[in-house]
Amino acid sequence: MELSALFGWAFLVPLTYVLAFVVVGLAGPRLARLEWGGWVAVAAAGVAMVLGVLIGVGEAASPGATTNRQMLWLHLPPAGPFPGGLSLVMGTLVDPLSALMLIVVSVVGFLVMLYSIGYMHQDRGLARYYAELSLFLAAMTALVLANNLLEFFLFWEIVGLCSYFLIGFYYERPSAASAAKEAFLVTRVGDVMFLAGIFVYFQLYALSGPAGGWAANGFVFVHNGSPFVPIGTGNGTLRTVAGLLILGGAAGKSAQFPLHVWLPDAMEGPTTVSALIHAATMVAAGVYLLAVTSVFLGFTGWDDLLIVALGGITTFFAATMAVVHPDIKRVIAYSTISQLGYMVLAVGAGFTMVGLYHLFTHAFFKALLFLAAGSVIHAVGTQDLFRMGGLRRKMPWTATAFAIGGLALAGIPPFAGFWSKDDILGSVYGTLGAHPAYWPFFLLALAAVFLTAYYIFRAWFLAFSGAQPRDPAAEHAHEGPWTMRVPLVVLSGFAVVAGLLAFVPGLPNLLEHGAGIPPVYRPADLALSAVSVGLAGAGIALAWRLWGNGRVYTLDAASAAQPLRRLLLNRYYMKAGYDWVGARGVATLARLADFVDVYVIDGTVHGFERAFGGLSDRARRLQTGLVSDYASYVVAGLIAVFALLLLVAPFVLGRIGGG
Amino acid sequence: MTGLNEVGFLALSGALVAVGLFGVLTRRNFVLLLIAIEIAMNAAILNFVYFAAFSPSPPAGLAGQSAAVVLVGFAATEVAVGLAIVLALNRAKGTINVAEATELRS
Repeated sequence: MELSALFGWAFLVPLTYVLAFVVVGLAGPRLARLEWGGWVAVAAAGVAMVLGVLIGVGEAASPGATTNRQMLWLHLPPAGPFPGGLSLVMGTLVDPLSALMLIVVSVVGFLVMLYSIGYMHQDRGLARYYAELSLFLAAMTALVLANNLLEFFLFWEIVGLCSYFLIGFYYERPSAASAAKEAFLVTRVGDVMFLAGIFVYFQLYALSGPAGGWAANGFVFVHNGSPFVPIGTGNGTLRTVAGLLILGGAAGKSAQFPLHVWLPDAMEGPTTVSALIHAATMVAAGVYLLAVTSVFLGFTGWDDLLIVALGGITTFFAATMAVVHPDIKRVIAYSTISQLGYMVLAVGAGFTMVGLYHLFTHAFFKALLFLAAGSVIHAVGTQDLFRMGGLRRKMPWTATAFAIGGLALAGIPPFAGFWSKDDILGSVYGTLGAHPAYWPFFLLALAAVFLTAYYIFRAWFLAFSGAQPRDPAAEHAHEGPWTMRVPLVVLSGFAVVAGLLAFVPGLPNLLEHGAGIPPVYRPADLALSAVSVGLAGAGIALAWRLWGNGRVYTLDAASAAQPLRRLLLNRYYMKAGYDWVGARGVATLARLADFVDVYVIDGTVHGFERAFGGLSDRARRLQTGLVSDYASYVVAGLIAVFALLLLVAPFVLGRIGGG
Repeated sequence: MTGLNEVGFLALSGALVAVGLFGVLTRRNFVLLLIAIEIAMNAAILNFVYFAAFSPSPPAGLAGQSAAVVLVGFAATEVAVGLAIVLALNRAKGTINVAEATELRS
């Protein structure tokens, strides 16, 4: 059977996860034997992985194949400038972009799900955990397969929701609850920009392009099997604005500067969630959005520069923050932000597929790092690097896996990260002649190579090297069950070979998309590669010099570097600044609104109430029940009637001339 | 009937109404209240009589006199009803002071 026959059935991948979500969500609390539904979720993830990988392999075997399958969701009647009406469709689009992402999401999803069985074993609320994780995978694969921008946005929101649920999994902990809220609110800033970007694109392309315009086409990315590229309307300003808004959305989801603050705090969730959602898949959705947008809609010059700047700045600044952090998970979280910065940089410089290549390799080695860290946390019960140490002998599998992940992250050949990161650096380097403005951001990205190698090996040496753990709690550390070790081994394999896969016949087909999209740049510039590997080696050497063999290097309290360390530990005070804006600025606004509400609006209402209350109180007193009082009212009324008839009426009638 | 002025008769009626109203507004005793109402009502009956007497045409004059006779009958029935209420009030409260009968308020 031809694998391409599967392309039209891609919607079965999200549906499999939905099935697991429903089954685990409804029956999970009664499935104690099946780890509260965990094994159901693992089975579903396994089926989905097989399907996803088969689709990916099929796509690799049929270069450039684009299979769109859709159904009408909503048809708005003809009105105004749309004589044919507006169509909204739901569908799946299998093309090199989505096939690549489908492989990443389904494979990492399955491995994390399997790992969870061991890692989450002692936790409560497991049915909730597996149901939410399945829902996340359903939404994530649906997002990847979405064939139009509205559907993309819909699932984009659902993955955000699942991220919120899972960060707040330990919701009894105030820090987890607030981290979940923070993640939701900060990404919401980006989401609003994304939605606004869709509106601007609608305004721009509603009527242009084949088949009666992009909007009449249901926002679908393809038309007759080739990319649906709307005809530019020539309004450069609006296109720039739309690109900026899309960039804002991507920055929120992919934790790019200045919306990066939520990702380190998202580490409050279970480590498995960090590995799947906040390293391999959801945070990469922002980069995927940029890639999709650049392939199908195109950015203008200003947008390109801004994307490059954002990527370069994020890459460097996130790396600096990782250098001093004592928390093993947060070090990796900053590293994620930094690596996402590389991808954004590549997409901005026009090398969309190079960025996705790094996304592909990064997903595997970063998930590996997180799962290895999770294995350590599971064994030691702390995330503080300074309370670990000497774990290499107690947990050889984990130590090796973390080392492989670290080498891949640092960019040491032949591990996965080297190929894709050098691809990015080399590609951007090649554009410097045409775009001198990219120079500073290229240099920042290059400097981040050194920092990356240093911080990840600082973490490795602190956790694993030395003779004895620094904390007695780590004395009895041991490896986790097989469900935790198997994913580590498999991901280690990927971390070694994922970069080389680009040289296997077939896979490069997944990295080439349509006409006019620059193909993968292979690291041809040996000198540049030598520089970057040299920097990485220097970083590792420095880490060994300071932290090797269980050494702990403490900074003098009086050292001139102390203020810098505090600055980095406090994340450049950006979170504090946001909190201040939230706590002071917004709260002041809220108090003002509250004042207006209580004293002006409620005041008016209550004033009326009091006035009429008083008036009716007076009127009530007239009702004495005394016959003679009523008689006197009657007499008073009579007198009034006579007065009107005899005195007022003639006067008024005389005035108006009636008669 | 010559030599007599309508104004004098109307003034008499007005005076009777005023006396009746004064009684209604000031008396607390139910029986006195009824008497005051009768006085005021008699002023109205008198008015029918005057205007019948001063009417230039006999049919209108006859109509006024018959109305006066009917109204006297009405006044009698009204007093009968009023006295029945007085008895009922006396039985319920042991008094005929109208200031005591304020139940309708609540």
